[in-house]
Amino acid sequence: MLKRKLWRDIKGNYGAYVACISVLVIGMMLYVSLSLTLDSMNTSIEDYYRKHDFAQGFARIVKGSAGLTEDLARVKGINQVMGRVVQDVMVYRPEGEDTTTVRLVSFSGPDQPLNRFRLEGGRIPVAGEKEIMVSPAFLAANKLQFGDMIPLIIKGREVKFRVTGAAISPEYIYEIPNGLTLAPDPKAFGVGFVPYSTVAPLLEMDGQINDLTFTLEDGNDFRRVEQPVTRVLEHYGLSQLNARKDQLSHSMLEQEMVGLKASASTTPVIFLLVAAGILYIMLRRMVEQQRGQIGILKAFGFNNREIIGHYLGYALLIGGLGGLLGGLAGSWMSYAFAKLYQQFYNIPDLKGQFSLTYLVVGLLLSLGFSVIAGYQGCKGVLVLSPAEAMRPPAPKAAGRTWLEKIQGFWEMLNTQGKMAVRNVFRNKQRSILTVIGIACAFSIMVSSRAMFDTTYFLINFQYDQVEKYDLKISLQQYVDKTQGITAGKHLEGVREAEAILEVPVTISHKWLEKDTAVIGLSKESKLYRLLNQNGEPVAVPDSGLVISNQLAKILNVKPGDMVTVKPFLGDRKERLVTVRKVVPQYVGLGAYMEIDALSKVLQAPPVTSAILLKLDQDKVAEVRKYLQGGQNVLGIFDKTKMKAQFEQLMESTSASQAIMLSFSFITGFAIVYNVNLIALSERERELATLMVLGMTEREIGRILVIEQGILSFVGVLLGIPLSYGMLSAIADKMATDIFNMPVIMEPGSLALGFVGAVLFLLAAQWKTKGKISQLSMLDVLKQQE
Amino acid sequence: METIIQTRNLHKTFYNGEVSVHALKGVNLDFREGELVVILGPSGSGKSTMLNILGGMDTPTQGEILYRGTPLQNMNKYELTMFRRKAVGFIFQFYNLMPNLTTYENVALATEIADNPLDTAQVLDEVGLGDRKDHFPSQLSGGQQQRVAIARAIAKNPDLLLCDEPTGALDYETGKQVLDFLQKFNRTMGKTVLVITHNAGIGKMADRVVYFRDGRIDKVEVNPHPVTAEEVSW
Repeated sequence: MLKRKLWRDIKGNYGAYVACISVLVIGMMLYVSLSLTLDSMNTSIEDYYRKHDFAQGFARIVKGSAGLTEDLARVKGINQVMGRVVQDVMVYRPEGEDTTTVRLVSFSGPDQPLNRFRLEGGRIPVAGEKEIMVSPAFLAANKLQFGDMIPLIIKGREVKFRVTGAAISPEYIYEIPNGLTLAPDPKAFGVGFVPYSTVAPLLEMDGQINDLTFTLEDGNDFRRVEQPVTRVLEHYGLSQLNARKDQLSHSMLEQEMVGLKASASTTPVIFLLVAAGILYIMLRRMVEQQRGQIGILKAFGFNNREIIGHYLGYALLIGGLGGLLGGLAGSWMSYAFAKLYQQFYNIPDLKGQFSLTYLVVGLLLSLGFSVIAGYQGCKGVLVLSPAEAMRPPAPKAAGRTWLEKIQGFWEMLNTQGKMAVRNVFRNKQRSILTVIGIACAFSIMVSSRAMFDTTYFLINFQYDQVEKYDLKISLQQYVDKTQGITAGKHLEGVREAEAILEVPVTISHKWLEKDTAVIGLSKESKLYRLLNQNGEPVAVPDSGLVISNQLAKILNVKPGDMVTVKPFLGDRKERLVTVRKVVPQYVGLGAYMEIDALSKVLQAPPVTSAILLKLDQDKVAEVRKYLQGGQNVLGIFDKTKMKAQFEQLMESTSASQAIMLSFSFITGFAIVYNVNLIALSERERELATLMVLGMTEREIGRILVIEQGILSFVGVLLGIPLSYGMLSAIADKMATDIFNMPVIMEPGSLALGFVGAVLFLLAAQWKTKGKISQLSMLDVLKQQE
Repeated sequence: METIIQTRNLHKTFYNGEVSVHALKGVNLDFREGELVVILGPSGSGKSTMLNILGGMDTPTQGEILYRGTPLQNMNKYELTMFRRKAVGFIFQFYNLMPNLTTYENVALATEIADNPLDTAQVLDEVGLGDRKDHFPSQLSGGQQQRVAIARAIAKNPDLLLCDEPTGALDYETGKQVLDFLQKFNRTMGKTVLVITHNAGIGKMADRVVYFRDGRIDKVEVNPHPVTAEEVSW
């Protein structure tokens, strides 16, 4: 019979239950979908790495005989070694419209020992033939089909390759050319797999290699083989040696997973807590309201357990339904996530999934939260004796609030306003929970928008403030600095040209060390500027290093400390250098030096590895076209294009922002609507009296609006520091070696949160309006209080 | 004296599922300005329904109701609200005060929405609550609470004061006090007061007593010499 009462109670107030369940569903949906995605990514990647023998060590040399692989295989602890040729080349674009770089990666065959590619379509190129395989993303972005030709510029000559197939490799899951690229752009960069016998002669590297990858014997650590590997390779111009954890694609992937894990473990909890809060308020109110009924039930002989059980039934129903729907929706959403990830990552077999485990875990979690909240809400039943319960509760002593002591404030309000203010203080616990809930909804809105602000800040900082050039021309080989600048200045439309020198190094301080690159800049560089905390340019000192705060943290150094710099080039001798300044940097572990001083470290005359150009905008395409066939041109980096593409990418992910916004909107709405409904039922009599007095529904609604407005206002105020805290926590969780997220909260984000709060307040009010006009003056006023 | 409100062939039927209750069966009544009328009748005789319709809280199923010549039966919710706001003061058996407003604020709540209100402090003085104006309802006795309710109704300065069993929840002495205020309002301000009760004794203070029975007017007695509230007894 109590079950029937449960159903009827729910039917009578279904709006409140739907609102509460929605928030629970959102929480569970996020939990299940994020966890599933994380799991699915973990297993697909692990599987992929294992099946395709993804290497554990990566070395880059200038040139060496193919026999080096055997020398390396003799190093103790190394299992398998594979040598190959890897070379970035540009696609010939006669119109010069876009710069596309292809990283040629040689392969010996489909069963090569390491980093085996995975054929996604078409066929494998035939050895000796000018045939190539590229990633499906590259294929689509460049509108290529099997059989089409790609013109590549190799050694200054145009060589046409036939596209025979699509392939991906564990080495390029995240297909970006270097650590300065924040996101893949398959139109501008792609990996091309070509047979060694085809590509080596074209690059004049017959019988030679410039890239080695290896695996370790079980239980062996990379650090133990680092020294011996270096000894084997250092005579061949070793320029890079790193473990899998520092491999570009892998480390970007790891970073994404760290972020995903952070979201999966925090965001759902916020929604679950808000749902629990709503449920608590609802049940507490219900028990208060049904006090008389509880008394009758007790008088009939129902015991506490049965009555509590009855009220927990509501919690179980909400928790069960929320968990179930959320779990199912989460499974569904994991398919969407998988699709989204596949846009940016070449992960095979990444699919959404339906997981019974997560459904059960989610259900238990949801039930757990609900039952705890529900029990807290209805435990008041226990202490009531039947006789006591049947009497109306002792009236809550109404009283003045501390707000009334504020000079001028109280006088400003009319009586309706005064009523609203006192109502806020009438049920302090409920008001506090409401404020917290609104603060949460507000903060989620603000922080999801602020994540965008942060990314834009990063882009603008790097591409507008630090890197002021238009084109960066990377060179195959170092050239004399003056000569490089002069050549750059002579190009048509060039207004300024500067030389930079990028040198891969290991920097160490005491027992701490880090592989990075030192960038040599001219003293008064205008095209690549170092900036301090306030965004003011920092001059490059005559000697010594300027390093990024992130690198300073890793090496535990401060200005004035000496560090050891060991270049991968030149004589490879270690040198002591003083750290002069530390500058903020958000992407990468930058280290900077005066360009000539850096040349000296290499024991070289003043040289340059890349020229930065600032030029008339209408000449950019022309210069690019002119340079793309250049003998010594390794690559052309068009900053403006990069920035534009990145911004486009950001726009395309705005869907996820919209989802978070709507989730927090629903949450805010659910809170305000529920509290409104409770206020209505609790104060039926008062509101009916106001109607009799001749107040319009609008005026009565306004009292509720003022009440909720005060709560929302306080919630929003509280939400500002909460958003900041949330963002700091996210930044903290997402910080990695190469990525250091500042906490940026633009006024726009706060305004968005504010507008959102106003909207959910109004929406809830609008929904409540109907309930006000249903109030019957006659029924209510006839009853005794 | 001018007629302030009149009903013509007023019917009211309540439908509740399959059961219908015919609460008013063709009532014709006129109320004149400055009159004190007492409606007497047993429970279920239709007197409360009559009061609700007169006060614009409910609408008739059939028939006419005219306030100063303007028909109320076709008014929409908003117009009825405005009618209540401008023309009617209500007093209930249970006082229906706002628990979180002080005595003064409860009265001010009404004056703020009225066109031509009386001075709140003065009205409170008149009902003898000048020294309780900062008390909350929970700090007042039943009689005091009903006086606040009267002050709230009077302060709007309505043409029509409708009282539904105003003494029903009060003891004898306090009840008489309340009647005294109603009579004073009627006499000194010249406003129409309508009291519903099943307490026949109260009829003695009325200008007219209307007896209701089974949804109809049973009889109307004109009282040429109404007694003062003090002289009333039951």
